[in-house]
Parts: sequence; C-alpha cells; structure tokens
Amino acid sequence: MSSPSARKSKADIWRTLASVITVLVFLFLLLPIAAVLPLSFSSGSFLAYPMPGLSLRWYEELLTNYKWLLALKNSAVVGIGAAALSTVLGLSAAIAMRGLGPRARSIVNGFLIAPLVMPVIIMAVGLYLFFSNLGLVGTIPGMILAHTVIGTPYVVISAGAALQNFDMQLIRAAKSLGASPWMAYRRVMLPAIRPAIVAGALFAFVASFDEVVIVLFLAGPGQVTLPVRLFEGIRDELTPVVIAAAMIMIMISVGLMTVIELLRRKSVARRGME
Amino acid sequence: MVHARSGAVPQRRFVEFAGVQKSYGSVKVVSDLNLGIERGEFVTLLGPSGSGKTTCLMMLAGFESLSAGDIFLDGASIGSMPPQKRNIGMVFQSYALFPHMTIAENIAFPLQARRIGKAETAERVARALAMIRLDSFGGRLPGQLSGGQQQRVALARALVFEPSLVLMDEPLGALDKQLREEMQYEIMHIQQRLGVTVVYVTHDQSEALTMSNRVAVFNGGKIQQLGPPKQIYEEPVNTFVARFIGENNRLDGTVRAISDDGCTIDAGSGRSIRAVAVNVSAAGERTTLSIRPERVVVGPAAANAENCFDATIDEVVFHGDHLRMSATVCAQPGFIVKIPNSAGISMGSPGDSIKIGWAASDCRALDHG
Repeated sequence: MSSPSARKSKADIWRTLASVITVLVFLFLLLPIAAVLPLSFSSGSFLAYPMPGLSLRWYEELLTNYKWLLALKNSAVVGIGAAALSTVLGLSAAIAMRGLGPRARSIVNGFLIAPLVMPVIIMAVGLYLFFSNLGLVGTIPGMILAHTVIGTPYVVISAGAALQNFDMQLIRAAKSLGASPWMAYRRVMLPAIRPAIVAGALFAFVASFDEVVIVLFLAGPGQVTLPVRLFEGIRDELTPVVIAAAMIMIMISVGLMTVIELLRRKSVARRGME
Repeated sequence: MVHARSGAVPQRRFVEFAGVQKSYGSVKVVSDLNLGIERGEFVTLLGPSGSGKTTCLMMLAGFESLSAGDIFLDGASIGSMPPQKRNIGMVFQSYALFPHMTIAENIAFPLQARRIGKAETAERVARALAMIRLDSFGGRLPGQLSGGQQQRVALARALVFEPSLVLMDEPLGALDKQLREEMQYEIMHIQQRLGVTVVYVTHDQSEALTMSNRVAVFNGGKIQQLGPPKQIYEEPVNTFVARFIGENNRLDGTVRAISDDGCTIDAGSGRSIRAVAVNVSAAGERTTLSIRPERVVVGPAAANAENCFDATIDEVVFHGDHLRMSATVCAQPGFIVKIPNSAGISMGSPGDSIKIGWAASDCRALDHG
C-alpha cells in the first residue's frame, strides 16, 4: 500500500506527463505554421531565412494587387452568400425535423449531414457535371450554391441541438395568446436559439472560406477565391505575399472561431440559468 | 339532429362539446363526449392520468384535432379553427413564460399579437400586474421569480387580452401544498371578479371540490358524473366516482329487494343493510355500498340509526382535529370512521367491540366494483 502522499505525487507525475505530451502535440501542429508566418514581414523576395529586413510591402502588395483583391472579394461574397443560404435552409430543416418520427428523423438527418462525410472531390465532380448542364460553372451563384451544400449541415447540427433543448410548450403558449405561427417562431423560438443559429452560420462561412477543391472545379478565372489564389501564388510566384495572405486567412478564421466559442458559452450559461 | 320545427336553431351552450371523439390509431382516448358549459361557469375536468381530461382540454384549446364531433364556442364551431384564432386564454402547468422576455413583455405579448396600441398596452399590462400584486416586478425576467409568482404572471398573461374563456391545465401541479391552497383562492377570486368562464383540469379532487361550480369526473375517456361538487361528493353515481372523490367506505353485498324508498342489501350472515338504490336494478345483483366516513355514528347514538351493527376496532389514530378509527364491520375489515375531536372523547382501543350506525340515505348501493 502506498501512502496518501506517495499516491498524490504519483498523480502529479501523470499530470505533468500529460501536460508535456499536450504541449508537444501543439508544437507539432503549430510550429510549421509559426515558422513561416514571420516571413510575411520580410523585406526580401524569397521564402527563406534569414530575412534581409522587416517590411509590410507584401501586405501592401496583397491589398493593392487586383488579383488578390478579387480573390478576397470573391471569398467574401461566396462565403457570406453560402452562409446566409445555409442558415435559412438548415434552420428550416432543423425546425421541420422536429415534427418527424424518430425513424424518419434519423434518415433525414443522415441525408442532410451527408456532405460532411462525402469525399469533397466526389462532390466536386458531381457538382461540376450537374452545374455545367445548368450553365452555373464559372459563375458566383453556382459557387454559392455549391458551398451552401457543405455549409448547411453545420447549421442543421447547431440549430438542431439547440432546438432539442427548446420547450415546445412555449410555442403552444404563444399560439394560445393569439400569435400567428410566424410570430411564435420569430418572437419566441428564434431568440431562444439565436446563439446556435449564429454559430452555425459562422461555421458555414468558415467552411466556404477554407474550401479549395470545389472552387478548383467550378471557378473560372474571374471567380478565384482566396485559398485558390494562394495555391496559384505558391505555384507561380512563391513570394512572401502568399504568407501574408495566409496570415490574413488565419486571423479571420481564428477570429470567427473565437466568436463561435463565446456564443457557445453564452448559450450554455443561458441554459444553466433556467 | 332533427328538429320539430323547421328553421329552429339548436340552442348551444357557451362552450359545447358535441359528440366529440379522439382516437390515436385504434386507441380511443375520448369517446362520444357531450358537455355544455355556461358563460361565467368554473368547470373542472377531474380524473386520473390517462382518463382523457387533458386531451379534451387540448382539443378545446386547438392543440389536438378531433377524430369526430365538433366543439362550439359562443355558438360558433371551432372544431377545426387554429388555436391562435380561438381567443381562448391558457395557463400551463409548466407556466410556459417566455424566458428571454421580462414579466411586462410576457404580459404584453398577447396584446401585441392583437396589434393593440402602445399606450393601451402599457396601461393594461400595469393593471394586470396590479391584479396579481406584482406591480414592481414588470422589469424582471421569469427566472428571477418564484414558482408561485411565475404562475400568477402566466395567469395575468392569459387574462390580459380579456378572453371570454380561460383554460387551465393543472396550473398548481408544480407548487407546494401551502402555496397551492393560496393560489386556489386567488384564482377563484379573480375568476369571480372578472366573470370569465374557466375550464380547469386537475387530478387533485380537493382542488376540484374547492374551486368549481361543476365537476366532470373522467375515467376511461368518458364522463362518469357531472354535477356540483356537493352532489359529486355526496351522491356518487357509481363506484369509480365514490372511490375517486374523497374517502369512502365500501361494503360488498347482494341486493335482496328494491322498493320505491330504497333497497335492502344482504351483507352476509343474514345481516341486512338499508340503502339508496343508485346503480342496482334487480334482486340477486351484486353491489358495492358506499358510505362516507364522516356520516358514520359510533357508540350509543348508533342504536337510533336505520343501519346499526356491531364492529371490532382495529386501530385508532389521533389526527389533531379528528380521530380516525379503522374497524371490521359485517366481517369486512378497513371500515373508516372519522370523529371530530371534542372534549372527553373516547373511541375505545383496538380489539374492543363497538356499535356503529348510519342512515339509509347516507348509504348508496352502486355497481359492484
């Protein structure tokens, strides 16, 4: 039998070991990124250390070169469009799914979530063939539609989880008080699940913002998005401007993920209050 | 329905269930319900869970569809009208207050749904808050109020748009006993003051007896008895009602004879009991007699009663304001007698023999159950 203090020190050792492993994993994941990011501030034209000096010239290049600006604009338009469409469709689906039996619900849910587990390349080929018949290849609306397919599951999952905790008696109460179904949803249900809806919409935006494969298939020269432009930049130019673009993308993604986490905490706190 | 004079409009009650049925698949939850409720009445649907009472309320509110029949409100058919068009107030057991809205916003909600102006809304909300004595609580959120306060807010919200009918689905079920009794009186007084018609659902018989003008006792999807609380309690029409409402002594026997002024029941070993014939039709039938514990007389006074028997005391329990005795009568144990606690009272002790008696009019011969 080990004494309590010995057992305690044993637990301490394990905890320290776990911390060390965690730190190592983080380093493994983050070091490659951290290693290249400073190059975006280099005054030289090559992706190599040591840097000849510091400058913001690559950020300036990024924000003045029409190719990069177009890519940034396309990413924003497609991302916001897809997020908006995903939110409307995903929320409608999540609300409608509540009315289904458990069996039908799991089938419909599986169908709606499918884009998350489908190989993107398969989806991209399918969308390409389908859209080319409709004249949607090489158009911004086509890309918005395609990214809506991958964005909708996030909203379905996020809004669906919040609706599970929503008391449907409140909708009955609203109707008994004279509210139309629309007023009941807008004034009673939506405020209750708003953090989850916003989180789902942001997920959908990030999913579109980071997406490369579908864009490669569907985009013409005028519809290139930021990640694809990045890809082209590495292939064609390989100057620190691609690192500057990566820096901007990372900051946007990290910023949005932070907002999502804050929303999640807020909705957990709200549920705890009741 | 065929009317003698052509063109005659059937005289509808304020609320009327006409041949209402509800089934889920092959399961009949409510079968052929006919119930009329007058304007200003407080009617309680009372019954055990699964008796169909809540389903009836939900059909009246519009949250359940009817399988057959129709419901009329103030002469108009509402059987297939959506709930938000019925103008019926509703109070839920779970309060169902909107958690993200303040108390004042909750109460204003039905007024906003009716597009009532801002000034009038504010005035009516203030009046509603005063009615439930929560004047200073308008700015708080529901989560900051106690259960009783929340239910008063739910009541105010269901009344503020002045519906002519308010439904209550076990509104006091989530409250503790003392608060429940306070709220019973509060709801009764508000109902009487406003003259609003109330349909109230509960499984608590004392709540039903206290609050209602009339009680409908439900079991198995049917109304077993409909009448004022006093009648339901004192003149149950069958064994279910007698057993469900209040405390009740049961004695099993066989009908010996039925006459105009009552019947005679053979309780075994040649003992005969005089009773009111309620649910018996012929000699030789099995029957269950129902006698309320507080109508039983013990000791020397019992000798003057129409029915008088020797009993053996099994147990005597002191209950403060009354004594409660359990005895064996006519070879059937578990006969309860309640005696008010007065000075110098003594009921004897277990094993003692005692005289027990009751009037024939307090003893009802019901279906054998």
